[in-house]
Amino acid sequence: MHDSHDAPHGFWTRYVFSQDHKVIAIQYTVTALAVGLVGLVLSNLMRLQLGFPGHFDFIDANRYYQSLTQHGMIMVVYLLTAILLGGFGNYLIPLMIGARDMVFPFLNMLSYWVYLVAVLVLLASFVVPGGPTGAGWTLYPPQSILPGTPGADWGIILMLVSLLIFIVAATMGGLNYVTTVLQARAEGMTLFRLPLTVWGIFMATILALFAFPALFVSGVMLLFDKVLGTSFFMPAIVSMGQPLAYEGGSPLLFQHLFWFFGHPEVYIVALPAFGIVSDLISTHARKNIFGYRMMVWAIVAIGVLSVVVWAHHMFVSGMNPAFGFFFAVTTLIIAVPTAIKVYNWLLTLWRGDIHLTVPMLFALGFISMFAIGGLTGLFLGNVSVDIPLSDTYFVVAHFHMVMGVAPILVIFGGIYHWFPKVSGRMMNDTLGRWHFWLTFVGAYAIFFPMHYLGFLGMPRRYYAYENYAFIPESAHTLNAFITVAALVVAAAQLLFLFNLAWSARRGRLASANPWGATTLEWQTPDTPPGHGNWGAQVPVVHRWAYEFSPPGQARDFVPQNAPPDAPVE
Amino acid sequence: MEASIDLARPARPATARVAVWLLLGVVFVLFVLCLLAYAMRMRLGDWRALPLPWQLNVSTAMLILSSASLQWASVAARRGGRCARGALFAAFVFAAAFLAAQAWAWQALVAQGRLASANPSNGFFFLLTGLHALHVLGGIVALLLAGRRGERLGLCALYWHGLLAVWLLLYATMAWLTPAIVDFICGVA
Amino acid sequence: MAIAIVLIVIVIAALAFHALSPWWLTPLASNWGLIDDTLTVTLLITGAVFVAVNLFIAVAVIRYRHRHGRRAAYEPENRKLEHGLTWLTAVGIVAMLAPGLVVYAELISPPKDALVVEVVGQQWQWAYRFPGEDGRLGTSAMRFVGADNPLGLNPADPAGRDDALAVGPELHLPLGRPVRVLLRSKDVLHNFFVPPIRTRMDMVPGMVTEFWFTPTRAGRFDILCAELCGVGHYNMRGVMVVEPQADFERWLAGLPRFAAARQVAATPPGGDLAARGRGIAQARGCFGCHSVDGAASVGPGWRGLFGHEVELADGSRLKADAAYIAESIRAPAAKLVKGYPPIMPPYALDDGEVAAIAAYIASLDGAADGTR
Repeated sequence: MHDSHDAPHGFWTRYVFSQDHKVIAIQYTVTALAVGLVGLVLSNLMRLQLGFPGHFDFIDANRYYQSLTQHGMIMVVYLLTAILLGGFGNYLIPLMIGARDMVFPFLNMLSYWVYLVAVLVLLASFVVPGGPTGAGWTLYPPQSILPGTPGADWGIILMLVSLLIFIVAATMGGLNYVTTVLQARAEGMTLFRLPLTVWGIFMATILALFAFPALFVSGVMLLFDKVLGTSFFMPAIVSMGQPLAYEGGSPLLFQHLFWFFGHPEVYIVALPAFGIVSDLISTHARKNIFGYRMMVWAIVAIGVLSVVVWAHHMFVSGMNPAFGFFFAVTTLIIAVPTAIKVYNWLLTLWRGDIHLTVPMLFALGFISMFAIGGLTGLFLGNVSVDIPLSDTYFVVAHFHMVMGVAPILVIFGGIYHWFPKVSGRMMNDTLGRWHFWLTFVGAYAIFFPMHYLGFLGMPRRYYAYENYAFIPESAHTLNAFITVAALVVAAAQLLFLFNLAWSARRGRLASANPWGATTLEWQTPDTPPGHGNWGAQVPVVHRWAYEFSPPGQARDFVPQNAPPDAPVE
Repeated sequence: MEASIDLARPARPATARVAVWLLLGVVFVLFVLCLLAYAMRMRLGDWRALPLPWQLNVSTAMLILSSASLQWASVAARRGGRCARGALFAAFVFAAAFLAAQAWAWQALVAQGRLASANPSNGFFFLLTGLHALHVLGGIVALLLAGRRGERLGLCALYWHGLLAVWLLLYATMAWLTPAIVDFICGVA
Repeated sequence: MAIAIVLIVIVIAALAFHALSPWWLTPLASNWGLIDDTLTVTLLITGAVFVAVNLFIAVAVIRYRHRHGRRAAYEPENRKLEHGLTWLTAVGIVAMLAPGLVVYAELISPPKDALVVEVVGQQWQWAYRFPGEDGRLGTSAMRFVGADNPLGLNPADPAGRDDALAVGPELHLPLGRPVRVLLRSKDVLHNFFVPPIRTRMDMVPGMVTEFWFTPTRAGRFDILCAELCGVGHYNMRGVMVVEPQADFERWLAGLPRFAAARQVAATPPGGDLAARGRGIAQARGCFGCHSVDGAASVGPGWRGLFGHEVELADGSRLKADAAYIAESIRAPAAKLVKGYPPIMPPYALDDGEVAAIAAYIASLDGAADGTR
């Protein structure tokens, strides 16, 4: 970190083993999108089986459960967490706070390479004997390490090892992001002048630092149970007629540890999305974010509350039923700051000057999608309503809308928004609109009807639904419809990938600040920003990040670093 | 101002200290979660307390000495004193001795047939000491990279003290925590 | 502008979907109407907010979309509005949470006079146990599980001797009487889920969990497993038959008692070899994966297997004889049947046991008794 920041010259140091936060961000983003593509294909395999059972021989029950598990794990951890913190966090934190780079560039580079190793170990599990684990992304013991579950030998071991490596990578990155935000802000950039994007990523990173250890502990203990034969989580068991050597352990102990990580994980994904979407809405509506301070406190409150709600994932787990009262109350309390955020996004639109650009469309799509996903959370957080719905398709619809589709819409919006800064070129607008409409309407077509299959009582994680008397034929028809919608949405992502590749080389050249944004990343001397970001002089910040359409100004925005007295034409 | 001067601005000394404190926070949370799992698992019927090997006293002494030596080395290095080198060497030796004593304790347990799978208390012993040893090992690598610069040695010393505190917490828990105490704290008779 | 229209269309389509959907809660068959009521309250409140949010975006877009010369208002904060909305939200939350907690308090307090039934899960089948005349269930532990004791009852516990065992998918319950369901698992997590009774609970190996309900409608209901329990999860079927008290008592009286059943199962070899094979297969959990009535399952079905050709995963064919069956039990991965995953663990059975199972499979050929 004490080395001088002279721009590196060779190809390897510039593009591969680069310590520049912008290059590392692109590496993280590309890797996450690539592994996310695998997750997308896996989801379509599942949908093919559910929509047209028996028509596709190559999807047997084993493959189905492996696809289900790997889809979930890839999307939650290796795509969403990695792209939001490693991708957006890496690119935006230094630029938005006016720093030249992360405070520990070498550690930052290491974080990416360790993440890549985690991804490779995960992918390696597809080719080991028995294939990847099919235990569900929750990896609940005893089932995850016993015969009867696909990949119960090598698959689960590689899965756990990959997660442990990922956690090391996330911790390296996380220490860097938090320290950078705390220590490397430009002159004048007080905490209450930070853009909400930085606030969201900052709080999410703190959560990641302190929640991932719970996954680490449960992962190591599960590895002990699997490899060394300890009985941390394993009680006495007769598996497939054979008594095992385990004794006395508690499967619930694993669930507590897992969800102590697992629920904050939802907010590790959601908080950066909250932050980014706030900035998208404000910029493209040309209006300051409504209630900025309330938004910051809501992010902090959600972050703090998120560590005391974990057992709402365990209402029917067999834990002490008295816990249900406590966790139902805390869970519904967290709805209040979350609702405040939604109100403030809506009120930001009101009396704005709404430019319906592609990033704005994704942002508006996010509000709609997040609203329904958040509202269905009120069913599942309220313990007695949760009981008939838990482990049904209602849950599948809920979490896909709230922490799958909603954040991914923000990620897309963010990529369309910042692509001009990253590449110096605009993304193709027409392709972008097609991508938005197919994804947004398609996601509604997929997930809205799923709630009703959940009301009906169709359990999730079923390979087939033959001969269940309470499931009418029409439910199978609906499943076929959902599958068709899922295939269309998946195909629409090819438009996005094509747009990304095409625009990077052929896109219309972008100006330094095409959206008229106030935040510092748009005020760099070069586009894309050079090594060290700011040329000779780091910026000095004079105001908050949302000075849009102030009275008495000709232009409808004032950058954070514009001197206060300078006449703005 | 010349561009190169501004570009080469080193991270503020306080910055690295913030990061080490954060890291210690993460490490602390990791071990506290382990100990919570330990306490919860302990209350299930089949727990048999593990008689801790006496070698742990040796390793504890080594870790304390290592921590003290490193503190001395960092203070000496900042003052430009000559004893920095010797103290640093001592810190390495004591840290290595700590790891050796832990390995000795493992070996003693294995020799008695007390493997990880014999009882959850054994499993936790190997888990906790193993995770802690890995953190010490990481510290040794960092120390090797740190050289003899006073500021960096200070950071290493801070990390060392943190790991010592974690170790004392682990040792005390394994030695003194009983299911009865856990029940008392949880308010269950 | 298109986004405003689409959001309005989504709201209308969502309401229409709700109105026209043939997919809704299964007709209630228990006393837990309160759960349905709480769910309805939640649906009304959240549905209203869903409509409001989307329409708000639509209206905002229509009114404030960019036109030439338009300029946004400058309004950083509005304390009054923000506090008002916060309190309004809090009220809505309380309106949903309060009834929910009242119902929950009732959900976790079973009545004292409830009929007790134990459900035991294993991959991928169900078994049930009722207390005998003493009204008490005997203790159990996994170390007691054996060929003659599939549920692992404690043979030394007198309370268990008269317990009635129903090993198999079917559970009968009397109409109108509260039932306290105690849940155990022999291997992994399961969940006893009958959609029309609404409440349910996970089954956790190493502990006993429970829930309670009163059946209010006679009929046959699907029992499903609702906690992922391995590759056969989707096929872990059971049937709950709710019937008048008299019918239930007749069924209960026909069930074997633990002590008596044990003696039958322990009958030394020499008796009916096929019957002994069936007992071993039952105890070893074979029926979790292998059907005996020709139905599709996780593993190859046994009916019509013996003496017939099977196609293996490598494309070769062979005749299923006693030697092949013995090998398939002891080293299942050696010759995999085409189309089935390699998930069966090897079983170390002695020659007598293997012969008994082979005899049982042979007895399933065609016209022979295919039911369990």
